[in-house]
Amino acid sequence: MSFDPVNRRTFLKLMGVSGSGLFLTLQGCGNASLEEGRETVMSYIDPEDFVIPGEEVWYATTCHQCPAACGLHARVREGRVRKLEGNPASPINHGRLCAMGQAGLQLHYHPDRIPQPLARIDNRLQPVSWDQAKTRLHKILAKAAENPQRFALLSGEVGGHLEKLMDALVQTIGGPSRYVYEPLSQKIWHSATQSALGITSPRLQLAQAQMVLSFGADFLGPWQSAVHFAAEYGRFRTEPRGSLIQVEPRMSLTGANADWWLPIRPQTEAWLALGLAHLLASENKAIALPDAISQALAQYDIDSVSKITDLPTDSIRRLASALRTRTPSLILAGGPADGQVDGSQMVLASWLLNYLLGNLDKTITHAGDSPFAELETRIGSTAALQKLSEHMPALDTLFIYQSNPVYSAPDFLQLAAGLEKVRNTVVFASTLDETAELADLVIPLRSSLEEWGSRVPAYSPDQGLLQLQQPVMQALYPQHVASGDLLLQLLTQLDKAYQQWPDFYAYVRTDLMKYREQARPDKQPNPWKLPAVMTPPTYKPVMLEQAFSTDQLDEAFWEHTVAAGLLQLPTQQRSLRMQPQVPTIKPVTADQNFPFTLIPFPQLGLYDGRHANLSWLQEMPDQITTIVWDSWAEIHPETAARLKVKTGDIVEIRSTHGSIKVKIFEFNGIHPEAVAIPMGQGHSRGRYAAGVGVNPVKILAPVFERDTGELALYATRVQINPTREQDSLVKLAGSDSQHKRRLVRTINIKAPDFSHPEGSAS
Amino acid sequence: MDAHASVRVRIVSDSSASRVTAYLNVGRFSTDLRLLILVLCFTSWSPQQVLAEAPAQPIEFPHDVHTNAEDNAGNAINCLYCHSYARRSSVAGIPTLAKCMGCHRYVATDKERIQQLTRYWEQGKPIPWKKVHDLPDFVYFTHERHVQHFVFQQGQSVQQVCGYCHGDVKTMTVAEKRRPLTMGWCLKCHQQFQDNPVDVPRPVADWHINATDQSLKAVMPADTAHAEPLRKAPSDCWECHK
Ligand code: SF4
Repeated sequence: MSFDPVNRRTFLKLMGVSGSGLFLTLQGCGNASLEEGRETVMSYIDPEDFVIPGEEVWYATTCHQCPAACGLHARVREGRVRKLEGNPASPINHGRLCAMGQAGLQLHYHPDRIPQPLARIDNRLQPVSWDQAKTRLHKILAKAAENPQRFALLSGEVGGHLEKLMDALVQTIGGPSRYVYEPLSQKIWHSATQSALGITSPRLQLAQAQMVLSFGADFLGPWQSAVHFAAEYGRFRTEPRGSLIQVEPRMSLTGANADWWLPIRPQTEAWLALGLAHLLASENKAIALPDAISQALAQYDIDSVSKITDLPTDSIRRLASALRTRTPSLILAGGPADGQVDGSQMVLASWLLNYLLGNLDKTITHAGDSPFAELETRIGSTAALQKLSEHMPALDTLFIYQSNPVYSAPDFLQLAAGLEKVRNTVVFASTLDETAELADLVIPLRSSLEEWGSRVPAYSPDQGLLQLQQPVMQALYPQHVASGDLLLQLLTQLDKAYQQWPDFYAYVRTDLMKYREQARPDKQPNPWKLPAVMTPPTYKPVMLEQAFSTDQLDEAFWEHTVAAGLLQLPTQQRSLRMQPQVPTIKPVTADQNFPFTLIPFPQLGLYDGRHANLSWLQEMPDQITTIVWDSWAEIHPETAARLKVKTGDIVEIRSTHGSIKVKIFEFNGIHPEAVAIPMGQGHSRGRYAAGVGVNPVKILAPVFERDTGELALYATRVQINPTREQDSLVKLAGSDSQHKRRLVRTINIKAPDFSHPEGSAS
Repeated sequence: MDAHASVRVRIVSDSSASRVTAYLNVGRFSTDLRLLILVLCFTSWSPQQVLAEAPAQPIEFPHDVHTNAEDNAGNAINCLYCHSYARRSSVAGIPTLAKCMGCHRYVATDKERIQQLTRYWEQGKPIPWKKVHDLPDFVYFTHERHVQHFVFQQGQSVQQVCGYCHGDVKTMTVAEKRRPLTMGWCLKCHQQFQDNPVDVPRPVADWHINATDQSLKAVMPADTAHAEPLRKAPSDCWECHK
């Protein structure tokens, strides 16, 4: 940009000669305020009693920014939502919210939201009216119903009543094909946990543990339920302070907070877990293991484990002794530890350790069976997406609801090419992303702050919990049909029985009414808690105890549930049973051509890439490196020296299935045989996302977890090829060296001492 | 803005019956007049103030007809009847269309302005009123505090309390800005209450209006046992610049 050079003198001269200039200047800096007579003040036509201009109203609803489904309070003024906070009544997040949750507001007001449906005409997506779009959609559906085998529906993890309607749609059409895809799937963890404990989601009580040993589970980052575990972690670290040990090839946010961080060789976590199990089992005769297991464990002796994992025997012994001293403990596995070929075995090994340490029913509990079994969230997986890609050539019609697989799936699945062959691809999306761009029909969605819904979170500290979602303001695009209403309309077309519900609101409300009796205060183990904030503020909560004697029972129950933003039903806590299983892991054979393991790690921010178009989150520095608006490849300084590259150099990262170019960031918190690249960048669509960084998932090789068939996200081997190019990385932090100025005194410790019963300092 | 446009500036003395109105053609006015404007802009010149033009409104709403005393061809409607949010919110609010129509379904239906109003109502469209009193976005002002303090706790007349800042609306048709609403002007009251008893504002001699409504003291004697003690007006920066 260039400006005409107007210096101060010239400026003053100009002002002096021009009388009008003087007048205008004084107007600008003086007494008159800026907008009188230029701004319009709109009055209400016929307002609700509780709407007071200038006064805020808080509505309870549910966060949709990640699968954790935290409770929200939305601050609304003059009919516009202005701020989101956590709902203190929700046992998931206890009134807190993460940065992604806060950015839900930006998604709601995003300038990229699609204002009207789009249809492919002359091979170009063009705006059409809602009537045209609906007619086309109904026609497509009628055709699909004629040939159900050639219809499929793909969605992200939806849960609640919407999930129920989607299942109903697929069933009514008669097709077998409902696919649920989640790029950061917990499928391996859930399925191995189911096989070990008989339930998919036990309650993990960090706060009760003296020590947490986590194999790659970044529970302070995006693992399972970020805000919930952050609160648990806070309690875990208050007196008596629990100790945290993190074992992982690349330092995660949780690793950065640990008392002891162990950089393990990538893809070998299961060996360490079984080595520890062997050490503990051979010393603790109180817990008898079946012979087959003891024999199988014998091969994981400390020396071979040390060699494979690249951890000193001394560290492994210290780890075992720390686990013995500090009980109860909690052993977790996730991220790079379970995204392996032997991922299920890793999770099973973590349960075996918990079993040997007597943690079951202490730090891991069974919160009882969910009363909302039919509304539970179906766990998504990449395996489902792979099945879909195999099914695609046989499809005529594919509905894709709130999922962007063309961006988030590896290239080897060739989804874009597959989609081209499907005759009718209908994408339900709020912005035009990489998948919607290939659609034949794009149906714009309302934001989650504009529609009704419900959610039974996959991980919940309380099994009897249903999170309710309500519209907190009128739709910004009033013609947009809410997802639930649209599904009901489609179902009604196929089955007139669905006519009984005039809209999705009625559907949710009628369905939840059946829990009314269970929700009676006298049936609650703890009396019903009144929500902290009522909506509207002048609304006097009808005390349920009194309401039960009146005709307004339903209304009272419903008002109460909506105001609370959740429904909590009593569950029966049960004790856990575990059948230890014989471990069977196979060593990973090293390929000299591809000497590094690629770790495409998610962050609390862009997550799996779904938030890349939110500039707030792009602007939020990475919690470890403080880099913004970019992609980078973390490698160990030793590796960098060996490859003769340094921070800022651009390298090519090549796998058997493709390559990407990315800037190097030298980082001490990574094993020398690993290279880590954050997920989430590398979009081709979105005003804030397009053209920023690279997507490491694209070059993943087709390596699958042995038991579940799920994509092993952290098992791709790559080579690093220097190029001669260079660029700078924009980051908030300056240097991580003190340049010999000794601003902060540090000492080196060999390894922390966990032998005290309390506290871990050494 | 066109530098040669004719800008009308109205100079009004609020406390006297006589109004002085000067029309200045900005494009051609003399150095003396420029100096005059300079002085006007940098001083709080009381009782006379420089005022913005009362903006043209979609309907020429007659405040005088609504608020004047009945013996003066008015209807003596309390300000808080229409601007009902003033006592419970930071903003006073513009009356809702439903409220206007509550009377005007029956009252003065033959008048052009009421027919205009009815058309908005029938179309379900809000009236795009122009904002007359505007504060910069970095100022947090609350009507509620002021109305609660002066009207409900001190029992002053509503017309007088609103009039401190808005002038004597019973002398206006569409609303006009009669006070500068600058920081120095606000502080005239706010500084006074730092040392002296919490009382009526001292500049009231300048800002006094002949209120026609009854003081609430008469109808609603202050319940001193339950009333919150009167607070001194704050003068910390953060109270208004949050
Ligand atoms: S963890 Fe964050 S993004 Fe996920 S639901 Fe909770 S607040 Fe929303």
